[in-house]
Amino acid sequence: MSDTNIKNQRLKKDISQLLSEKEQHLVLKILSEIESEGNIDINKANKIAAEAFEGGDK
Amino acid sequence: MELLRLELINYRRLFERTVINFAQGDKNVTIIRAENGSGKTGILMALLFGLFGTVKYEQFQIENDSDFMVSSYLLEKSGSQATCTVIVDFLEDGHKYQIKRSVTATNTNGVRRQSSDVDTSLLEDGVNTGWDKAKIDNFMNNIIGENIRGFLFFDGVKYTDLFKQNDTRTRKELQKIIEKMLNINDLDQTIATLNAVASSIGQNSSNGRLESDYAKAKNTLGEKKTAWDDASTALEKKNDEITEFERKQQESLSKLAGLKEYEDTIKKIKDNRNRLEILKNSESTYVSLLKNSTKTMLKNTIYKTFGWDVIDDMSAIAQDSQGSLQLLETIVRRNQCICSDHPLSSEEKERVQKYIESIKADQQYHYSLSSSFRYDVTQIQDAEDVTSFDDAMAAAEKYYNDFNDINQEYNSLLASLPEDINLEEVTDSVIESSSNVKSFEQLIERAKGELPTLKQNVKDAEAAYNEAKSKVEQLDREKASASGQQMKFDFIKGASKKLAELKKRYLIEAQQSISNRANEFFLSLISDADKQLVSKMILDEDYTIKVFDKNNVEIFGQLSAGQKLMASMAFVMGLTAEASDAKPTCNFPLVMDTPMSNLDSRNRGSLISLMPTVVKQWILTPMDTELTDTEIDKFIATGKVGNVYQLLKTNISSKVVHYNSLNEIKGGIRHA
Repeated sequence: MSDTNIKNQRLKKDISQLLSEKEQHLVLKILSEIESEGNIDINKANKIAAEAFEGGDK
Repeated sequence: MELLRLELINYRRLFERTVINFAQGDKNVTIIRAENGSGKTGILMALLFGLFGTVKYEQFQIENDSDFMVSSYLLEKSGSQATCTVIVDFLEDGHKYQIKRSVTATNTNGVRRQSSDVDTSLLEDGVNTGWDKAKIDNFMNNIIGENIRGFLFFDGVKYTDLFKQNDTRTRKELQKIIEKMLNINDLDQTIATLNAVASSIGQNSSNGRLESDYAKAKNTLGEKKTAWDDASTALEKKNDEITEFERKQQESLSKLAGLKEYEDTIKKIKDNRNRLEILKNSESTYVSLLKNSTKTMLKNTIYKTFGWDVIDDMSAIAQDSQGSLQLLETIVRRNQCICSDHPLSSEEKERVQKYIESIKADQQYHYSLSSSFRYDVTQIQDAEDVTSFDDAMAAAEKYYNDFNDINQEYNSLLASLPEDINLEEVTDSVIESSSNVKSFEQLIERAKGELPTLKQNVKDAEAAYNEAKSKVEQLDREKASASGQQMKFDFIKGASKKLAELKKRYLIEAQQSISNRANEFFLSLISDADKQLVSKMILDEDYTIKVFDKNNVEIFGQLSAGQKLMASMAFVMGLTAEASDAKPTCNFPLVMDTPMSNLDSRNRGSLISLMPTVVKQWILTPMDTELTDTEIDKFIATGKVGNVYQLLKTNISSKVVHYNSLNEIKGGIRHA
């Protein structure tokens, strides 16, 4: 994942090792949103989840 | 973060522009020594205010963030308005920053008001970022979060207090700190969001039975959550209750120790009172003895001076005069002079008669004197049982010395007692406190006896909750399946579970790592004698600090205040080291106000030698009494002290004076 700006580099690294790319897309997008905004709207989270799921497991 | 410089303008007692440069690199210790009331805590507050725009820390007992910033003297002097400015220069992530915060106060007809607006600016590598206060505050909070700030910028007293109460709230606070420190505090919300998204997939399925089961399961889950919370609260309450009982028991024990000490004093006072009474009664005896012996002394002195000679002399004189008397009486009787035959003239006869009278009187006088002395000497010789003057004098002197000594001790013992101590009531208080100690002991024992059941209740409730949660999750999955989205559901839940496991792993690793580091620091800090008693210090999985003895018995509660402070320091060192590793670009400075006030000389030595090797920067504001020549020598031996300042106070202000070496501040604070 390159389009998110997670502050915790160790967390980012571990996520990239433990989660599939689709899961990374889902988790990092939501985490990044929470980190920058303090919270996330459920509809936005749903949209991110749909995008990640539809993205296909590479 | 590395602190470079603090500049203060019109700040509190420091009227003059004040600059403090912080030591860095190999010599990483900055010492600002001060006496009480000179504003040393104000330096710590200025740093917090400058960096984070807030000094809202309990220990400072300040109501508003910017309270008391502006020097009241300058405000008075300026008449209507004065501005205080705090500037901090620091390094962070390879950049040099300068943060500047100003507050203005007004004086209208003697009423002081300080503006709540804080004018804030931030320069990055000399260029103004142009950010507003909120953005700057956010930037600063990301460097050092509020929770860990309490550990890095701390007041010695407050610090010890945190670990005195090893209670549930403290443990939760510690967990939060560690989560923030690891930058994983947003994971919970991420996991909750993922679960909510997964749960919403099969929302409102057309399957009535499923919806009904789901509603029931959700309801049950709510109930189980409430039951779990209640069980946890009951356990927390019991733990808090035990902590409170232990605190009260400790209070009673301290009171008892104090009273027992008073009891001994009071016993001595009463004993002295009796002895004084006896001495007072015997005073008249000594006085009379002294008077009598004085008379004896006078006689004795004559006797000692003249002895029997005086009696013999008097007798001899009297006897010698007998021959002269007889001769003169013969002359008168014969009425003629011895050496010629002519008769005596009437004039010569009268003169001889006078001689005769005179000799007789003289003879009588000497006889009586002789006899009187003889009588006195006999008296003295007979009075062998009468105390001599020297003895009487020595006895009297002893009496007065004893009286004065006992009286002095009596008065000083009385003065040593607190005013509210009633001599007659102490024994009752001792009995009452002993009874309290015992009562609390029983209460603690009883409360501790309830813990296993309460813990089991929590476990059972948690298990019931997890079961209900699994049921809901299962139904969530069924609902997702019913709507044809089971794969999506599994995908989201899978990610959520992996994230939860990752967080759990981080916390366990951090807890174990902090525990290991703290243990190493603790064992380095404590004395050899303590090492014989203590085997290890740990931060357990419940975030409780525990110290074990050689028999593996937990003894944190039995540690002295100094030992607890060392354990606390060790914990902070462990936490700081862990935080630095978690965020390698940011090595935290440790700023400590009166860090050694509760430590004995040996512990101070340990801290002085260890701390500079653990933290990136150590900035401390010790009191003059905790940085004596002994500690100064220990600091010099480390070779780590870069900058030395003293806060000197006058009646209305204080000023910071820079010294080139620690040797220059030896011998205590000297006022200009």
